[in-house]
Amino acid sequence: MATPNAAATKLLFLTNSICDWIPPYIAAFEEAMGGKDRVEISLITYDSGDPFGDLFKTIESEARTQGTLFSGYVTPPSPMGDVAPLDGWADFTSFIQDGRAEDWVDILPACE
Amino acid sequence: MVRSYILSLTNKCSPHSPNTYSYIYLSDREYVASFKSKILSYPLDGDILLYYYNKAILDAFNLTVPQTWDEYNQVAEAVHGQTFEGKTLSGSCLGRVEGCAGAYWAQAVLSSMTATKGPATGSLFSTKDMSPLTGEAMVRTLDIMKESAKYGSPNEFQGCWEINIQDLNDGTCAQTINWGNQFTEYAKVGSALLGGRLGIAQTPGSAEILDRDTMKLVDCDADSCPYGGQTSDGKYFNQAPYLAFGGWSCAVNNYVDDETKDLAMQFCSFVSKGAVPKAFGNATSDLHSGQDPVRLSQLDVDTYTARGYGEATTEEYLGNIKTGLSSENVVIDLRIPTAPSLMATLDSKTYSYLTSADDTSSLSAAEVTDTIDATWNKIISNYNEQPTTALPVLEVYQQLRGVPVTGSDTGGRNTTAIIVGCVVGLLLLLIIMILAWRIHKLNAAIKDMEKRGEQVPPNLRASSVLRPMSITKLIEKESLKAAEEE
Repeated sequence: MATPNAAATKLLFLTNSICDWIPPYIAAFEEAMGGKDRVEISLITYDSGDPFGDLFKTIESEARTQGTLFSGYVTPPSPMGDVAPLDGWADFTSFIQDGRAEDWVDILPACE
Repeated sequence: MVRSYILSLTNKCSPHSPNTYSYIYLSDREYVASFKSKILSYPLDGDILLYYYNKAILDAFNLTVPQTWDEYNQVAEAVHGQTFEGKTLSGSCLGRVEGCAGAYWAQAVLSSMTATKGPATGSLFSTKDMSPLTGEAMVRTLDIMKESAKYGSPNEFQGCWEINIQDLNDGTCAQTINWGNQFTEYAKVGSALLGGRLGIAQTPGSAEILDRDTMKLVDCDADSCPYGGQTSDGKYFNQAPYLAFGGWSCAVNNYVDDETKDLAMQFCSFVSKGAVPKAFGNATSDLHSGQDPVRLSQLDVDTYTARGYGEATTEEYLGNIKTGLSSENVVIDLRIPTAPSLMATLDSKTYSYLTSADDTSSLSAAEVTDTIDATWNKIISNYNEQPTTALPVLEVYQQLRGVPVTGSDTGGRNTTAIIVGCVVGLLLLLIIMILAWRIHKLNAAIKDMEKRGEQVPPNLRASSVLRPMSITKLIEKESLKAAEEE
C-alpha cells in the first residue's frame, strides 16, 4: 500500500460531474510537476441533486467565510458576481504579467 | 496545421510584445475573466451557441441558411411534416422541458434584438440602471419561440437538449441551436449528418432591435446594427453570438497560502492549454469532451481530422467558433448575484407561455413580459436590501462589464458625496482667500497709518477681519473707540 507523501504540496479542487474532462489533466499536471511526490491534486465533484447549484453555493460560502478548504474551482464563471465583492478569488494579473502564463495571449479573441 | 483564416489572426500580434497583454486585457475576454481591474478566472472552455442544420434537407427544399429568427421559422415551416428519404421531418428541434435550457434559447433570440453595442451595454439588463431589456423585444421573442415550437419535434416539451442532438442526428430534424462542443456529437460515426450533411453557422440574428428609450422595436440600419449584415432581400440585421453559460473557468481561492495559490494558478494555466488529447475524445468513441476550443492554437483542423472528424465540417465548426468568440458584440451570460433566480424566472415564464392554450384564458406575450419584468425587479431589490449584501447588483454588474459605476444605491451616494465635497471645498477655499485678502488689506492700512504717524487702535488685530464690515469701516470704528477710551 502506498504511503501518503507528507512532503508533496496538496491541492484540492472543486467542480461538478458535468466537467468530466478534468481528471486527465490532473494526472498530466502531477506528472509534469515531477509526480505525486511533489504535487498531489484531489478533486471533489458534485454529481447529484443540483450539480451547478451546489457548486455555486459552496464557492460563495467559501468566499463569505474566507474558508481554505478548497485551493481552487473549475466552474462556469457564473458565481464571480457573488465572490468578487467578497475578495474570494485570487487575482491572476501578476501571474500573467510576470510571464508565468505565456499562453494567456493565445486565448480567443486573442490579438485581433 | 492551422488554416489560413486562423493564421490571419496570429500575424497581427506577437505573444511577446509588451502591448499584447494590455490589448488582450481590454478585449472581450475581459468580460468573462475579469472583475474591475482584476483577472479572477482563467478561461478553459469557449462555450458558445451555434446553429446546426442538415444541409441535405435545406438543399432538397431550396432553402438557405437563415440569417434571422424569422428566416429560421420560415425554414421550419417549409419542411415541417414533409417527407425526406422516407422520414417525416420536424422543422426544428429544441428540448424545451422546464428546468433545462429554455432560458438560454430565449436569451439567444432576445439578445439578437437587445445586444447591439457589445457586452458593456448589457443584453438582458441595461448596465446603465439595471432595467430589464424586454419590452417589445421580449414580446417578439415569445412569439418567435411559439412559432418555432409549432414546427418542432413532437416531444420537445418533454425533453432536454438530447432532443437537439438525437433528432438532428437521426435525420428527422432540419435545424437546431446547440453549444459548440456538441459538434463532436453531430460529427461522430453513426450520425446521419456524416458525408458533408452537417452544416454549422452563427445563430440567427434579427432585422429589428430594441430602442431602449421607447422599449419598442425599430428596423436595423447600417449604423444601429454594425455587427450584423444584410439579408438576401437587403434588410440589415443584428447578430449577437451568445456565450451561453460562459464556458468553464478555473479560479483560485484567495484565502489559501501563497504557495498553494501559485501552484493552483499553474494548474489553471496548464488545463487552459488543453494539451491533453484524451480530453478531446474522438469521432468513434463515446468520450466527447465538453471542452470547446478557447485558444487560437486549439483551432487546429488536423487535431480533429486525426481523430476521425471530417475536414470540411471541422473547418466550418472551428471557423464559427472563432467568429463567435472574436465578435465585439458577443453576449456574455449573467454573472451577477441572483443570476440563477433571474434565469429560472425567464425559463419558467417562457415555458408557461409556450405550453399555454392559444385563447383568452392565457396570458398574452405582453402580459408575460410584464410578469417577467416585475419578478426580475423584485428579485434584484430583495437582494439589494439584504443586510449581507456586499454590493448592489447594479454595481457588481457594472464592475463585471467594465463600465463606470453609476446609479446604484451605493454608487449614487458616492457620486453625491463627491459633488457635495467639491462644493464645500470650493466654498472653504473662497472663504480663506477672502480672509487672506482682508488681512492683507488691514495690514496695508495699518502701515499707512503708521507712515502718516497716526495712532493705530490697539484692538486692531488680524482676527478683526472676521467682523462683517469693510476694512475702512473697521479702522474708523476702532479709531473712534480708542479715542473715546482715551
